[in-house]
Amino acid sequence: MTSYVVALEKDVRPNSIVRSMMGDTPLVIWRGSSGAIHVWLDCCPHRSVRLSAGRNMGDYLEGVYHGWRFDETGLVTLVPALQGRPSEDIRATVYSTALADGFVWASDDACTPAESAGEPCYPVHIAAPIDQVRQQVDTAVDHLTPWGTQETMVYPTGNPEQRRAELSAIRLRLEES
Amino acid sequence: MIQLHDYPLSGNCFKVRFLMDQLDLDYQSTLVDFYPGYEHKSPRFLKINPLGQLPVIEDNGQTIRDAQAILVYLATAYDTSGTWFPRDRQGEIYQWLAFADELTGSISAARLHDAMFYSLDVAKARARGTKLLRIVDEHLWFTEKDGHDWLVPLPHPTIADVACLPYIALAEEGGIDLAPYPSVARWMERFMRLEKFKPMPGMMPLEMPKETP
Repeated sequence: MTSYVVALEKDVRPNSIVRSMMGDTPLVIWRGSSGAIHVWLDCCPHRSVRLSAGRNMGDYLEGVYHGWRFDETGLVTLVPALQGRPSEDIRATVYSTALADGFVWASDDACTPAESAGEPCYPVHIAAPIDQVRQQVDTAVDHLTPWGTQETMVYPTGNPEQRRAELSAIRLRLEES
Repeated sequence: MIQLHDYPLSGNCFKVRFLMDQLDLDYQSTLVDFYPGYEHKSPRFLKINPLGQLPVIEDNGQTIRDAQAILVYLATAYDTSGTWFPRDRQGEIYQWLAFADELTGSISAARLHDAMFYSLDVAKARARGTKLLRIVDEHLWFTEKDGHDWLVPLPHPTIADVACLPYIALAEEGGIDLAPYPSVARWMERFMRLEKFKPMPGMMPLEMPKETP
C-alpha cells in the first residue's frame, strides 16, 4: 500500500488544473467549488483523452473533446450529445487522497500519508535546507535540488543517466555552498 | 499598414500576431507555404529574408526579420503604454529574448522533427528543451512566491513572456511532456487568459473561466 506525494496543496488552485503522476499513472488534480481537491486518472472514460486538457469550471470538470461534465465526485452529469441523464455507471476513476504537511497525497488504495511513501512524481518546492528535507521526505538524494541554502526542490526522477548527472551537479552545489 | 510574412503553425509568427493584436495594430498577413512547400527557402522569399526564416514584417519601408527583433521593434514603435518593453527592465527582457532563441533551437526543432519530418538529432533537442523547461519552471516558481505572475516580475506581462510562450506551450507536439512543470502550466494559463489572446493550432481552444490561477 503506497501513497504518493502528487502535488503541493497550494499549487492546486480554483479554476485551474494540475497534472501529475502516481507511479506510472497519469493524474488530473483539481480543486472544486467546495474547496476539496480531487485526484483522478487523467483519462476520459469516453475516448481516453486527457481530462487535464479540459477545464475546471468549479462545480464540474469539463472534457475538451466532447464536453462531458464530471461533478466533484467523478460522476458524469452531462453528455451534450445525449438527451436525458447519463447513466450513473459512467464515472471518472477517482483516487483516495489526503492532505498532509502541505502536500497532496494519493493512493490507488486507502491513502495514508507519510506511511510507505512512493517517489514524488511532482516538483515540490520546500522552504527548508536540503538536509532537513532529506529527513522529512523519504526519497533518494538525487530527487532533491537545493536552491540557495534555505530552499530545496524535489523533482521527479528522470532516466538513470540524467539522474547521475543531476546527482553530481547537486554534490557540486553542496560543496560550493 | 504592416505586412506580416506569416505561417499559422509557426510559434514565432504567433508572437508577432499576438503583440500586434495587443497593440491594436492593423496588419495584413501574407501566408508563406512553410510546409510542405518550403516557400521560405524559395529564391523569391530569400530576397526578403536571406536566412529563409519566418516571420518577417515590412513597415514604413523597413524590412525586419527575427521574431524577437520584431517584438522589440513593435513595442518600441507602437506601445504607448510602455508596459511591453519597459525602458528600465530591458536587460532582463533581452535575457529572456535570447532564452526564446534557445527554445526555438530545441523545443521547436523537436516539433519540426515530429510534425514536419525534419531530419535532426531529436533526442538532443528534447534533452536541451527539458533542461530549459526546468529553468523556466524554477524561475517562475520563485517569481510566484514573491507575488509576481510574469517572467519579468512586474504587474503585467512583457515581450519576454510573448517570446517564450509559444514553443513552451507547443512542447508536447515535439514529444516533450509538460506535466512535470506546474509553475509553467500556471504561467501559460495566465497568458492564455489575457484579453485578445487568440490561440494558434496546438494551443488550448477552450474559453476559460475569467478568474486567473
